[in-house]
Amino acid sequence: MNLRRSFITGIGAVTPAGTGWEKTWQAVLDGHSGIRPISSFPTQGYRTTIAGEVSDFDASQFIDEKLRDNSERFTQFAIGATRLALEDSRLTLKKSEAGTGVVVGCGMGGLPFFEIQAGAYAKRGPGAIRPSSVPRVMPNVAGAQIATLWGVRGPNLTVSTACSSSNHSVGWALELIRSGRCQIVICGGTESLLSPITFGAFDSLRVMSNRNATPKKACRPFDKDRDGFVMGEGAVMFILEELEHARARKAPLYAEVAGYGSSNGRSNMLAPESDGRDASESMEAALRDAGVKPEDVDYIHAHGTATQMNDEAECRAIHRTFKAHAKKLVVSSTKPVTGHMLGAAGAMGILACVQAAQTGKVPATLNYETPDPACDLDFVSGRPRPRSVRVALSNAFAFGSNNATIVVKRKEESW
Amino acid sequence: MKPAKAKGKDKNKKVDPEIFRTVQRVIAHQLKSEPQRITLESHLQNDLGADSLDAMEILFGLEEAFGLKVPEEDARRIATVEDAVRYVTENVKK
Repeated sequence: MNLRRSFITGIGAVTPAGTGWEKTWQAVLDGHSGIRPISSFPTQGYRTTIAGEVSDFDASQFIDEKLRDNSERFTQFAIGATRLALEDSRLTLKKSEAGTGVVVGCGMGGLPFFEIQAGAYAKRGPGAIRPSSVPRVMPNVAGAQIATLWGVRGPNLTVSTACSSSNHSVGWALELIRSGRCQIVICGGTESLLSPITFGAFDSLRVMSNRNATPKKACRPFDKDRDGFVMGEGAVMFILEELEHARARKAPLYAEVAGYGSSNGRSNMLAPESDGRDASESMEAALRDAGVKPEDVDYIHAHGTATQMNDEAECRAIHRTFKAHAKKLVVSSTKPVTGHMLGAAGAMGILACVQAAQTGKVPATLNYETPDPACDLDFVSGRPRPRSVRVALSNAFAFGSNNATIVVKRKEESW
Repeated sequence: MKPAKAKGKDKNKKVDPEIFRTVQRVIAHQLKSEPQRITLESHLQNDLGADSLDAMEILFGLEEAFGLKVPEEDARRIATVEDAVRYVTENVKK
């Protein structure tokens, strides 16, 4: 194997648990959930009235007034997280630097702005539709703005596969570096869909938790009493960099992104294959890609949404792939802290894997209290678990039976 | 209030200060610039830095503010603030 190797050299996060990866990670370790009653729009008449809202992000610290007034939240989060990641990486991009790319995961783009246009149209007809609608709504505008702001001239991709978007994004960033097309790729995911109709569309699917009275206890991955996911919003962005390039400029090396796998289920648009086969194929493809044996894996950041079907199928998938080792590794989900960040969910999982590998602390699954016989793995209840994490997986599975897994290797394991 | 006067080719023509101020406000809002920077002579693109989307949004803003519908062939002729003011003046009461 003669692959160019890729390391995460910078992390930027804007999540319901805090702006800045350090704040988000601390909230994850402390079990401080960012889920609360929705303030973005009136929630009367909705089944679910809680979400993970980003509350401490001051766009004016990252974006000038004109762009703020002409962009959506998902774009602003992505720009904010990118700026933080670049600073974290101590990376100043020279204008028009060749060999730098952008890959952003985003599920549904600026639908909240489209809703406002629909309202204007209903009142005043087609003349009321703003010309800026198209470039505000398209999911690739986040990547386009990042490239414009930092003068990136390399490839610029947006991956839109709902909740697995940002695992694919980091996976394709890895491929761009391996193939020699790029030295540096700004990658990750972003999403913000807390608006009346878009949120309402998820509400009508009956996939979200109804524990409105106890927001911080609502999202309960793998718990017997789980009753659905809780929507989050935010962005997590990374600087992924070819190892020699990173070494030459003495960049911080967080962890290696060592492999990427993906698969498709054949079951239906909303449900995974109940035997876990499709998700298991995604994990196995990622392990093969990384050249890692199943028994080398210490930690899985599960997709762990807290829907009945996802959690059960994901456990079956882990059993399928890891066999006896499934009971030895640890599994957790940070979604009770951040909510399900949809297009940014995979990247949030990668953040957890990188920090677990770096610090030797595996985050707990907040609200995991009552075991479910159908989910029989070690989900790290209560406090974070001290554990040496050499290799970690981040799973992200999406509507459309679209699965993606990223393998993260601890820096020391890579030498 | 003294009406603002157009310079150049239309220097003898009086400009309705209300219309000018509204045009100025629409442009300033889109471009986030100081209204005083926006004079009759300003070229939207060359002087004020409007990009193609800004131009569309400014047109949209003028349509909203004056209750106009600007046809394509007229829209193409609006390059300066003065063009916009003149277009509005000629069409607003029709």
